[in-house]
Amino acid sequence: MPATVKGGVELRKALRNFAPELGKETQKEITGVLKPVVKEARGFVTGSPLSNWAREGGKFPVFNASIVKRGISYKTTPSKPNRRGFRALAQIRNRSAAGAIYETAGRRAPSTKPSARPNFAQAMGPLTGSGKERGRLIYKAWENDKGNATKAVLKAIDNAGKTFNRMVGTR
Amino acid sequence: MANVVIDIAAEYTGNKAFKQAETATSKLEKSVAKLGKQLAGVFAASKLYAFGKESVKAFAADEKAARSLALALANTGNAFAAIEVEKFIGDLQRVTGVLDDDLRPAFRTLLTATGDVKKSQDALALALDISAGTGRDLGQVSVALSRGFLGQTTALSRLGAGLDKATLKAGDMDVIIGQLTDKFRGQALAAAEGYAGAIAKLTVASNNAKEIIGKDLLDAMQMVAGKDGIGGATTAMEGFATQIGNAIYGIGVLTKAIKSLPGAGFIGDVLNAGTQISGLGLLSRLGASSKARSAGTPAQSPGQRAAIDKANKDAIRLQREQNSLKKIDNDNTARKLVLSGDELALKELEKKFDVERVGLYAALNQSTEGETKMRLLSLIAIHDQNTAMAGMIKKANEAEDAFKQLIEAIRASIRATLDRIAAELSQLQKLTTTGANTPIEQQRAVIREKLNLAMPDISALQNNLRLNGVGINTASSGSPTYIINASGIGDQQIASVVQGAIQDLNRYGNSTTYAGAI
Repeated sequence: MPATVKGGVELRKALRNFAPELGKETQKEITGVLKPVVKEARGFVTGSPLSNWAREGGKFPVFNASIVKRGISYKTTPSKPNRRGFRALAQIRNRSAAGAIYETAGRRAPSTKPSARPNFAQAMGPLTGSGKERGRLIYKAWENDKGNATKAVLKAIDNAGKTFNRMVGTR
Repeated sequence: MANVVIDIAAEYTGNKAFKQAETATSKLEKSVAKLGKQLAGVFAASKLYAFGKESVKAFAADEKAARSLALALANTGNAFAAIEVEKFIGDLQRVTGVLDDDLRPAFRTLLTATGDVKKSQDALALALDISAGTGRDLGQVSVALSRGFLGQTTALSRLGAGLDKATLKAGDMDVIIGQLTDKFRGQALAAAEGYAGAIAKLTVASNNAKEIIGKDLLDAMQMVAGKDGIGGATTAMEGFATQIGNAIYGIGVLTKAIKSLPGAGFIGDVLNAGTQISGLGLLSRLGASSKARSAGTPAQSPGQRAAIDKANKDAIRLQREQNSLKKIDNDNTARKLVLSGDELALKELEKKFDVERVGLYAALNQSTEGETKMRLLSLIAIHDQNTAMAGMIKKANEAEDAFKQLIEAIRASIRATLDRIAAELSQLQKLTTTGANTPIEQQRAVIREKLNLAMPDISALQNNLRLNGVGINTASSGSPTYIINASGIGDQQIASVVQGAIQDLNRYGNSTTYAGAI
């Protein structure tokens, strides 16, 4: 469950319209926080976890390390609202199909899907994290970060808000 | 697409679905309010709308029941009897005044139990009698009968039909049906005779009318809806119903007013005629013709339906007769073909052992001349009565004649050319023949004379030369040899003599140079 803020989207709009320089600075600050996490997550991608997975053919997504690495990225613009009405102000994403499989394989118990082969998930190594936020790439990096990135992002947004209010107040 | 993300610093901005629901609710409220206003304003139209709705419902139920029955027939292997069963139910409905909505399920129940169309029809007729006699619901009676067919007679005992326990326990349906038939025969018809029957028949007619109108309404709605679907047509339908309702109400008011006048009957007739030629009549006729053109089955009266059924049956019977005749004809043709094949084989055998024919073929093989061969072939063709060969021989003869004619023409042409050449040769011969009085000799004489006239006198020249000490010896034969004695003659004199001779030669046209000199 991500930390919730209030007025983040409005602040972003305000920064873009009235203090674009401050907005850019805030973006840079958030980027500086998220980049190391992404870099670490990319570092977990070494080669195909299973020897046959890198072979072409079939409908199952092929594991290509460079594509998986490219798929791991960050986003500092607000997302669309999800089903529950929440918008994320920043995201770390694992967008490639093979990367997503590698990230999440084995989250469910093998018994929930009789046709699934537990060896597939077991061969990829253990999941890191807790609950639904368990994984092998971005979740692992996020877990290793121990919440420092979240704090830094929230701090950056908070600082930007304060600075903006101060600027508006002085005008 | 894979969507594995970590959200950092999320913000609640409200659910999209909530907003959609809000928008939809406000739209619905507006629509309901609008509908309420419309309904309040068009109460008369709502009656018509309700009737239309009922009609559509009645048609839908009727169609559903018909489809269900058709499926039951198909499932029991009696799909071929679908039309016959529909007709049977229609007839029963008309005679007994029981709605087809009740008859169809009852028939279906019985058909499921018996699996036989004829038995089900008899059982349904009996069920109608029992129903009329006992006052029980037709559905209940048909279920009891169907269970009886399946070996359970308990339901039959509860009908109150007075069946004895021994018969019921035995479970022989033939006996049970026999007893029931004896007890209730004619009950349904009797029930249909009185006032209650008349009312039932009216109900049947009314329901049938509803079904017909409902079908047409649905067809019309589909036509109006077009690609927007039924939903798009509802508004248009309501508006149309309002207009029709108002028009009907107006006609009612007008009719009431006319009836109160003296001579209303005549005016009523005029009004009736007026509606026939007015917009309403035209609309009615337009609808009827449109329905006839469309794929849907038009509404028919029982009489019309019976006539159509009869015509269809006759047509099928005629077609069957024609088919059987065609089959016989085809069989005969096949037999003829077989016989003709056998005859041909026999003839071939005969040919092989025909002495005259063998002799003709032997002569043909030995002959070398074309004409003889053709004659022999003609004889063989006549002997075999082979028209094809005769035709070929005829063509070959014609070709030969044509070839002969061509050769003759070529010969004649060559002959004419040779004659022309011979004539020209004789003329040439005449021209080249030597002798007295021949053309050549005559020509020579002319040339000679011309030369004599042209040439100077040689003797005079000789004399002249002698005078000047020059002598010419002309005695020797062949080429003349000129000996010039130039003693005592000077160079100038010789030169002047030679010069004069050359001048003379030139004057008479004799060249002093050799041929080809420049």
